Amino acid sequence: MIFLNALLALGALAFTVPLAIHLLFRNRFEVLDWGAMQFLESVVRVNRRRMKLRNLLLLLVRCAIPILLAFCLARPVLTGWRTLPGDEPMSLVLALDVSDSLAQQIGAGENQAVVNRFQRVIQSAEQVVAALPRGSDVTLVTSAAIGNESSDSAPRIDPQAVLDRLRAMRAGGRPLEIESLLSEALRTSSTATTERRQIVIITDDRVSDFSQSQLDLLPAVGDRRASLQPAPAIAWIDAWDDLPPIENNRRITKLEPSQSAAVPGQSLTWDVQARCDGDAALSTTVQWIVDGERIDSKPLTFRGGVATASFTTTFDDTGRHVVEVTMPTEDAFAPDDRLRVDYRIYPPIEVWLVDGNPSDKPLQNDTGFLAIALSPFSLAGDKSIDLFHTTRIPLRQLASETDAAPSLVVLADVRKLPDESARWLSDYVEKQQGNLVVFAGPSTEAEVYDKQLVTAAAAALLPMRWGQVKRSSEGSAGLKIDERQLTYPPLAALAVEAKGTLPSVEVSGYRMMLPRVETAESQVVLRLDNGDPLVVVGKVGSGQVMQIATTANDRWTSLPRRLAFVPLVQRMFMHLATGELRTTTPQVGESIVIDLPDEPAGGEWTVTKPDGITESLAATSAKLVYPNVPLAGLYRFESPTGAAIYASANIAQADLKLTSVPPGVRDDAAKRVGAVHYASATAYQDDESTKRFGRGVWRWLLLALLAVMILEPFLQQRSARAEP
Amino acid sequence: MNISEILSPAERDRVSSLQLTARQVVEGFCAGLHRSPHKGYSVEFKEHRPYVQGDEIRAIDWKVFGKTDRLYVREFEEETNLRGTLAVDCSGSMNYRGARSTVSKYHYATQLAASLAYLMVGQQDGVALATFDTKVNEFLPARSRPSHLQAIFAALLRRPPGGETALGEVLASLAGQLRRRGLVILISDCFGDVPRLMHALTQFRHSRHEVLVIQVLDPDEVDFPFTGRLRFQNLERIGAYEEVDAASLATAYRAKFAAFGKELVDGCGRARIDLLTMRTDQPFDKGLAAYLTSRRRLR
Repeated sequence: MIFLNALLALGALAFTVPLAIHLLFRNRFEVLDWGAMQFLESVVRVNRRRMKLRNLLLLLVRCAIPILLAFCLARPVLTGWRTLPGDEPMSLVLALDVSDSLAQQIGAGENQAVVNRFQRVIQSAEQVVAALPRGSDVTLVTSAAIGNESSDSAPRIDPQAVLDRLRAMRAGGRPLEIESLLSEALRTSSTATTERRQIVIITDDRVSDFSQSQLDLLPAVGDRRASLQPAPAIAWIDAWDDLPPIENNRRITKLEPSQSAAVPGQSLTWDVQARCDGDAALSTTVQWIVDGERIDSKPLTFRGGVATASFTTTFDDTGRHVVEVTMPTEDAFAPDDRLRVDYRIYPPIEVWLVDGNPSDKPLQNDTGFLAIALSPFSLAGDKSIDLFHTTRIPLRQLASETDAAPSLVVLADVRKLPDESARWLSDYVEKQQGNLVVFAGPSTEAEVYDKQLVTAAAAALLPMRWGQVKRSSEGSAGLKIDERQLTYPPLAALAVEAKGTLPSVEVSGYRMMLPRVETAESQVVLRLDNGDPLVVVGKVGSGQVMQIATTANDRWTSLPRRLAFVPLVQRMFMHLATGELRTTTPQVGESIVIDLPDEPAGGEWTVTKPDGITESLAATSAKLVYPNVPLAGLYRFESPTGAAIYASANIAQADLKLTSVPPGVRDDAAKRVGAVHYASATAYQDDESTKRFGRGVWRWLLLALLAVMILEPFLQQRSARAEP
Repeated sequence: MNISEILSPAERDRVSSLQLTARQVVEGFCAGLHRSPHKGYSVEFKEHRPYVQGDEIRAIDWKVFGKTDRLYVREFEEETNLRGTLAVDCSGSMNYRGARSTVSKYHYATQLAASLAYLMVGQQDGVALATFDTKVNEFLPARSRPSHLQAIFAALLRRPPGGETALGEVLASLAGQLRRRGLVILISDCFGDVPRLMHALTQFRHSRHEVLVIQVLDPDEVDFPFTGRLRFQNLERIGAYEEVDAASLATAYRAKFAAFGKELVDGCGRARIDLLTMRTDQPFDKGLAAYLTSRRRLR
């Protein structure tokens, strides 16, 4: 044992004061002449030993007070607990969770400063770094930098530089993946320069961070740690106590347009839904922001925890836009108070319908239902603008219409194609990024198609060969559509939105589709319940071909008469024509991908991030890819020519779940990687200090001092009081 | 030696108005207030008996002779005076005086003894005095003359209290000296061996003495109000002491003292001995007056 202030230990000699007082007063008695000694003598014989013991105990307690006080001030340290060399430098890897969920405010009570979890993480990290031995080096690994090639992972020799960097950090980046963070920390630690290696991980202990899949990966991380020589020690630090649930947290849960895609001038209605935890009837406003510019605001009143609003907007130009709604609330978690949607305005999609059995009577031809489904407003004489512009093209004119190629050509039960038409279609699909949809029907001649569009070397468009026609018998129910395993994006989305519609469709007739001899890049996207393919999509050259085994009208199937027909056709054709179902809004940590069909490849773009910082970004081919989006918010991409494109990113869904993980799960996770869990950075520091220098026992002595100071008057009173 | 050295005039006045009478027959040496076992001349008729030769002629009841034609003699009870023996404890323990008392226990005892002697002499009773500690220090035989009081007072004041107590032995030896029935009044704190004390007092009872025990106590001895570190020096054995933390054993002391008091009360009750306990913080004359008044009612 050593003393940090050894001189103060001499104060223990003060114990002689009560001892001297005791010895001096031991023989001082008040004298009393007494007659009734016969009663006193027998009593004294019984009580004398107890009285002596009590006096001795009182003397010991009184002597212990100055001794304990002196030892307390002298700061004794038990060196027997020391397990590490004292001031040896260490290589510290500081693995921090800096995800958006750390924006949750804590300590927002009346007399508490408002801080958020992130600030606590930084404070804890600073505490750890500040206590490092001289000559140590620190490497900072953050959850946001995982997978980011530009992250600075070089060891920083000067802990002060790390402190500066910590103070400049802000929350954001991809959601925490425990396994990835630990793996990165281990990788960094393996290149450390000193023998003593330490990993300190300070995480956001939320349930979503500890998914079973992540927990299952941790033993492998533990094995990797054990295999390193020397194996780094891992300390897992909690930067906060258990947090109370957020009261009356308001969040925007939905921002959806009335249509999945739109054209310039098309009026769109956006539905906004917000939710509030708790039953309080709260009111707020919701602001409508387009491309970073505030357009409108509306009041929002929560009833039963839900509030809704709607905005109507019209875009005049094609391209990508960012629509955003935000609630200026003052709850403890701000990131879920706003939601953004990237929305793309397309030019009207030109569709040529080639009818195999033309007719002037409505819905008596093969393309009547398609025309209604694609252009419902124009056919109804409505002023609204359709996304698709349909044109019926006679078969013989197909090859002559070469001036303006459409986005999509539909062949509906066309018996056979003229050779020039077949060649034109082949050129259109393979070289002009054209898209072809072929419906089968009773008129379709399979052999002719095989010759013209399957086996012909110049126009091998169809992904499958037509086979024989299959019809269900009269009076019997048709075949059903197999709704299982729908992975084709338009169909998968429809299965979710219009669940139960597709199984009600009956197919009474279809033409078998047989695999081609030579390999074709094709995919069966929809099957009948007997397993026969119904819809096949194949990629040909730069275009796509969709082959459908049944009719486009209601001759062989009831689908055109079902509600799902319009969205199904629109989504599938939209997907074929534009390559995407809907412009998706990435989450933090994902990538922003912007198509640049009209821009020259290889240009240098400038990205302005939500925090105002700009970066340069090189466009590759016809796409602009901004990987690992660091922050939620509006991004402005400026081309070399000065044109601006807006895109956005939302906070990751995983970071919106703020429920703390049960201690048992976290402890189990720490155990799997061989980490030691600490309740706070101070606890970690104390343990480190004990390992390096020994255990300081002044707190125990202080407790003992308090105990004897309480005991002394108690014994004093007990001595002065008559025995019961 | 004057009575005023022991009793104030007021106390003496109050005492002189009292009367101490024996409850049982006593053998006095002259006519007095108390019943005698002998027949004599008094106003109290006792019985008729047949005349025998030698009886005085004046004792013949002629009225009975007239009715029965036989000679009967009238006999009367004899009334005699009382032989009171005051046994006063002069041991060291009687010298204690607590803070709440104005006099020591011994002084209180002398006041009681003087009062009783004054009272008895005043009603023509004989008073004897014995002072003792471990032995009888002084014994004055019973006399009824007023001048005898001077000797009693002098004997009470002559010897300061001191030494140990041997109540049982002293009273046993005293019992041998008192041959004729009378009233024995023991004035003491009665500290000591209670069974031996009771044995000695029972001897008095067997000799047909009436016994009154007046126990004189200081309130400190009853309450034990002491705290702190005290050295209790023995008043009976010079040089003996006990150093104690008084508060820590107060309860045990009180229990012990209460047991002693109960043993004494029970013993006196069994031996049909009156026990009058008096505290030195209370006026002795009032306590004495209350006792004597109740005693007369019970006669």
